[in-house]
Amino acid sequence: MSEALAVEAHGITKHFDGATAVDGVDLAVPSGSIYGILGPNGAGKTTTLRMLLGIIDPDSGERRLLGAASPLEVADRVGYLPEERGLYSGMNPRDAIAFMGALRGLPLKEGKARATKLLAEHDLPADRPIRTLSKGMAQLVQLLGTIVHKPGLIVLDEPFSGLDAINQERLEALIRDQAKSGATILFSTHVIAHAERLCERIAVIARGKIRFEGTPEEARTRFPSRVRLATRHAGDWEKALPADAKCESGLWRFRLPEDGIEPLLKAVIEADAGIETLAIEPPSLHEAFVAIVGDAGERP
Amino acid sequence: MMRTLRSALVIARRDYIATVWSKTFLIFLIGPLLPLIFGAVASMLADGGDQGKRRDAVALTMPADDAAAVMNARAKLDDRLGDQIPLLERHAPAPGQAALGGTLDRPRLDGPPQALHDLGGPIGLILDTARADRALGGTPPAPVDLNTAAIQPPPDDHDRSDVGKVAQFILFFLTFLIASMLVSNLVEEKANKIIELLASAVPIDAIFLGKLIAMLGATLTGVVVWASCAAIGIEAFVPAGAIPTPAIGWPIFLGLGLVYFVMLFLLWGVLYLGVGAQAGSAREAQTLAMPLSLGQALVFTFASAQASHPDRPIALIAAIIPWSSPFAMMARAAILPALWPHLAALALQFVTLLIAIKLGARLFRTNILKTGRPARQPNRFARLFRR
Repeated sequence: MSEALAVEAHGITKHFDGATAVDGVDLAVPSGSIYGILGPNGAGKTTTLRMLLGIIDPDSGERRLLGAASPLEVADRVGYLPEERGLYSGMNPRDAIAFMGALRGLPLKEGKARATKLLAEHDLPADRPIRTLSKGMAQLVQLLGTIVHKPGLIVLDEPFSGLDAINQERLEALIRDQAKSGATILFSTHVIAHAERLCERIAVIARGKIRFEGTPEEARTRFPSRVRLATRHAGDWEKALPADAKCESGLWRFRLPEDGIEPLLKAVIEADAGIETLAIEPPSLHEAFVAIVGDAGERP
Repeated sequence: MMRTLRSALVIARRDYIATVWSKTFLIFLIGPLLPLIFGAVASMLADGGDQGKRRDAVALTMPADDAAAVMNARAKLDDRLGDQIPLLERHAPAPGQAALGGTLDRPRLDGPPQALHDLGGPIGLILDTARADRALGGTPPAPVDLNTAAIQPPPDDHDRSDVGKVAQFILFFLTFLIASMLVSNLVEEKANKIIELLASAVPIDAIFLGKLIAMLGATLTGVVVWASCAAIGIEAFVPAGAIPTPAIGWPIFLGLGLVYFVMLFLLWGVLYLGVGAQAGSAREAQTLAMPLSLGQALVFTFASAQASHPDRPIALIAAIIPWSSPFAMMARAAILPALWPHLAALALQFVTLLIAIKLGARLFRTNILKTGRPARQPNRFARLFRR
């Protein structure tokens, strides 16, 4: 296994009482990259992350985190934001962040100093009990606790869920900053827009299996472009439309046929149908995701 | 190992501060003191009420003439002072009874220290009155000193076993009291959804250890407070020497008591934490902990059944079973002076504790973070013993 990879997994599998939650997942997350694990709810994202982090052990397969076979060996170099956010409600943000750092080996005094600085940078109070903070603020506090010890690998499970648009933007900026400083970011999400904006590589997981692994661009180009066509007149030319074409309010939508769009265009022109709209667009990552997950027989 | 310990201390520190700085802890501290406070108040009220009651009789062993003079003087004073004046009976003192002997000019009062303290004044008054009566018409007699000697009867095994029983009860009471705190602490952790964060950062054993250490620390804080109050109470209300000395001696007895308390706490704490890991809510935790609490009470009953006879089979079995051993060994320390059985018992308890922590942590790990359907019992146990 290579040290150029921050996270590696080979065939990791997890069963829960006969049900297969994760089925032979392979992953290779390059060091210093922002990597997204995309999948619908219940696809196995959280279980995969928990196995990678050593919170639970896989039933079979092999994993390696920052070059270590045992994730706890490198726990001090890892930051983790679980999907189920939790903080001690009676603690203040500074102590909470310092405590999370201390769990990862950061001396408490140093943790408090860094927490004070981080909180000030993000306009968050340091001394108020966490129970008095808004949900978004509390989530941000937990995220700061995830990075206070300056980890080399940051694992975020559904980090954007529950955040409003402004806080989502702040979080995206923070992720980019961490990546710029050299950290590897691995996060799971079912909101494709974040992955599209942030990720250098993605893995799409559905029904416990990896259905796609590569760059977002590769995911998009894996599927044919979409065509939108509107004409002034209907007619026989419509017989040349591909079988998957669907018309809504006079606008036809269909996948770009394998033999190109020229035969259809010839029919439209010969019929003098009058082209009003013609657009050939590569699929968005969202469309690619839906297609990948749909192919896996799962509703996204 | 060092990492586990370091992580455990981080968790313990947080838990300890959170526990001790809570309002609940104040109630926890006051709780066991209430019986003491009520007891003290009742005792004071009883003392007040006892002002009108006669005190224990004092054996009168003086020569006949002197004794008659003393009895007359007492009768005179009794008319005026009533129940302030102790009873005097002409016979040899019973064990533990105060005795007035010597002569009227060289009187001597022997008895337990508290009796001397209580009776010195009234007896002196009786003696002065008797001597004044004898000198009627003559020169008033100069007061003479009442010689006193404290006599403490040596404690027998029965007295000592009472000490052992009290120690057993204190151990039981303390561990019983904190068990529910341990479970609710863990349930709170799950409710706060913090457990996954901890599990990703530190070994599960460290979470276990940390919580145990924190609760132990909080409880020892309570013990210090309670022990201080108890010491003040004993000093104020219990006569010196009234508590029999254990066979092994007070310093070792108290030291063993502390060590056995720690072991007992940890041994039962592991079980309660294991149960707490299965619970999803405080109500569920209470339901799950109930059989354990019942078991704890049964073990205490079993271990204290032969507290007065530490060499009988039941007492020996109780001394060997780690979860009842601290109870049984405290009773033993009260009656028998040998130290080596305690070292052996502590070694056994320690080894059992290590195994229990390992198994408890595994049970904790297999259940606390599982997603998907609930586990079936057979699988739980299969996983527990896997590896």
